[in-house]
Amino acid sequence: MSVLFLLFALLARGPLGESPEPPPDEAKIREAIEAARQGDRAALAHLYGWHVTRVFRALRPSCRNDADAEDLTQETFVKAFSSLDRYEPRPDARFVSWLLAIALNTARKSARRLSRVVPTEPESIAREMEESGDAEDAGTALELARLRDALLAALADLGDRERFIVCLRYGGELDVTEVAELTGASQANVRKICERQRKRILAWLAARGISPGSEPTRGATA
Amino acid sequence: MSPNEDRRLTEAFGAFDPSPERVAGIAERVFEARPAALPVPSLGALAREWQALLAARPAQNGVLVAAAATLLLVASPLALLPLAFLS
Repeated sequence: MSVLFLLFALLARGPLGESPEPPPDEAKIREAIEAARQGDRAALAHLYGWHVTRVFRALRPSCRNDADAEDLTQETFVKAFSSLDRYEPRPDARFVSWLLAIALNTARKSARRLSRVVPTEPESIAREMEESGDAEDAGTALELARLRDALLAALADLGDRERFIVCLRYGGELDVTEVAELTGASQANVRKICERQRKRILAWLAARGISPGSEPTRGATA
Repeated sequence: MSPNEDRRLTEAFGAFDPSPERVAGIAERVFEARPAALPVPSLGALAREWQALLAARPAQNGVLVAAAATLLLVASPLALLPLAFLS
């Protein structure tokens, strides 16, 4: 069995190593969950690929560095896949919100959270990203590094609760209802916090000459 | 809420997207480092996985056949050993 698993891992390396595909509709996700519960590892790999980016995005600002975010992301998926049998689909809740609830608890229990701004050096980050082939050229790498740096600094100024709310909303791409349910805050409060922080963060970025949304910012950077 | 500003901040979070190498690295740790924590595949599921993989990745079928042939070559003489002792 272990030889089979090793060969499977070798063959599966390609799909898992490619850029993650966007998640399909909830019905397809539930089909994959059902298949995964029956032991279908390809379905597990799909569940991982569809959600890893959102989990990493939501966790990264609460970690000291990318390596810590990587550890928490791994823990989140291992916990989620180990307790997949206990997942109960609900018509008003998506799988990603269950996954991010696990991520949130994992982050809360971890001592690796930020309490203040993490010093980063955009130029050296850009150099590393360019060398590792993560960004097409130095200009793009520097631009992304500056955005990451400024965004991390803006988010590090927040208390844990507000940062989690903003990260779940914009990093995890949950809606207000889902964020409220996960954090225990009222929907009105989540809406208020998101509105206030969104304005503050965008103004913070604008003051540094960064305007997300005007050019493509998505891409493999971390 | 302003949908445009919502979209802009969501796009800004794209700056944290993990690279394909990082995604693969985490996957390795999730799927290989702690396989015991994951659901055990049934034989039927395993067969379906192989069928899908073989159909999706014909270029690697050669590797698979070579690996299987090597296993057979190594296993066959070993299987004959007990017969040598019996005779």
